[in-house]
Amino acid sequence: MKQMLFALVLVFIGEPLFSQDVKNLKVLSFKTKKETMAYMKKIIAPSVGEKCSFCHNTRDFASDDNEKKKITREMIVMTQNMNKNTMKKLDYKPVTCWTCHRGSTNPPRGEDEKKKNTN
Amino acid sequence: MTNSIKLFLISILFLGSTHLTAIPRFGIKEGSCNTCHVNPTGGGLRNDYASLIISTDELPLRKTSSLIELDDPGQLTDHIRIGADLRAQLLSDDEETIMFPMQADLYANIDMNGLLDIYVEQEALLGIMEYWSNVFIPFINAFVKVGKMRPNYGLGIDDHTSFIRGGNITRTHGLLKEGLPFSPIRPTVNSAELGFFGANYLLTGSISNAFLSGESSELAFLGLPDNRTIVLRGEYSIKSGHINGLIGGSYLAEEETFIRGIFGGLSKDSFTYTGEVDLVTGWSGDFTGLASFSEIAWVPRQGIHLLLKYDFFDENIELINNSLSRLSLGLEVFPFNFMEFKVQVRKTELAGKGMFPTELLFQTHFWF
Repeated sequence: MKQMLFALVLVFIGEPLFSQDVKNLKVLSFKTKKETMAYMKKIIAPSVGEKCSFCHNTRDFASDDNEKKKITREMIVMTQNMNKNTMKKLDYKPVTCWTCHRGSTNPPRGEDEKKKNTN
Repeated sequence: MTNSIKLFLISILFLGSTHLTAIPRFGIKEGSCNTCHVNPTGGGLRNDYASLIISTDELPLRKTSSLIELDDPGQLTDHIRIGADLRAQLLSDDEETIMFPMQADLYANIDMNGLLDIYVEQEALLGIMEYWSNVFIPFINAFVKVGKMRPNYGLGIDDHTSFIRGGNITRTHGLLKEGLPFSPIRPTVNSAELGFFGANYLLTGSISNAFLSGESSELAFLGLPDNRTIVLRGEYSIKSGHINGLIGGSYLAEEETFIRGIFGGLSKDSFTYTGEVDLVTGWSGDFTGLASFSEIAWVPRQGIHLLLKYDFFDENIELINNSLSRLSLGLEVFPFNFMEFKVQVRKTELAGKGMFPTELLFQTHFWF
């Protein structure tokens, strides 16, 4: 127990020397891991209806090993561009992942919907 | 000594339990054990992902979890994380009913930007301490862990009475040994561990100071060469759609004792199978014994887990009438993101001697 308390005291003293930066965040502007996790949990995961392990290497969440993570990143860029270049100019509400995905990794396409409605 | 203190001490020795490790069926579903634990080989303190995602969103009953929701109380600062596991158990059979504390573990971890971890674990009931520092080497996806710990062998399931861990400690059934040597009362020893990991695999190798025979020399970090324990372990995870799988093998050698085994599991939707088989030589005399564990878990709805387990231990595979088998049926309920209730009915049989009385277990588990 003494060692545990000693270790805690040491680290409280050393705490300001280190900063907890987010790793490998390329298109999102979050500064902390907690903010990033909250965004993933509340926005991304429910929009595509999948758990974190669908896109992430769960042994190393920051890595780009999983191709689906790269696709998601491209989709985020697409949404950001759409909001910046189109929706904002039109003074429309921004689009989100949910706008298309609706809880599925494969959002319904126009032709698919048309076929469903005619059957 | 008061009766309550006596009861407390007897209880610890009776089923004796402090350190419970991980829940591998969660690891199979999530891809690996360190998805949820700060220890790269799993077990002990949970990480932020476990607290903010798994414990909050995926584990507890949906209807009750929103009533009390803790937002990661263990993350004290960006770099310091603490946690605890507290378990109490009631055990009843034809002869007696006892209740006793089962686990009181306190954890602290200092994380220096994912490159260095300093970890301390106090297993309060038996006064055993685990501590290590872990350095990640990012360019080759490797880590080096040095400190006082138990070697990483097999699945490391949470139920220490399983024969692939240590079996019952004093509530035994008449065999010389009733399980492998991974009992929670076996102390941590000076160890050095090297690990390599990738998206789908984890390979570890460790050298320890006499894990089985008892630490021989505290002065030398790894003690006498003859008594050193070598453990090698590898696991590979597979993911295809909503099917997750894990397969692996372990090997332990210390003097004349050798243990080798395979483990794995498969998960699809609400079902998860977990299993391990080990052969052990030189642990119970000069014989070769066998220990196995099989579990099917079904989650009919979030927060409710039903389990069917079969444990088997054969002290000497060349003889009959010296094997133990146990069938367990369990229910685990997670009402909140910090609470679990567990009920288990189990029946043990000693080959040639017959069945032992049915045991009923009720366990409460709180954590953060």
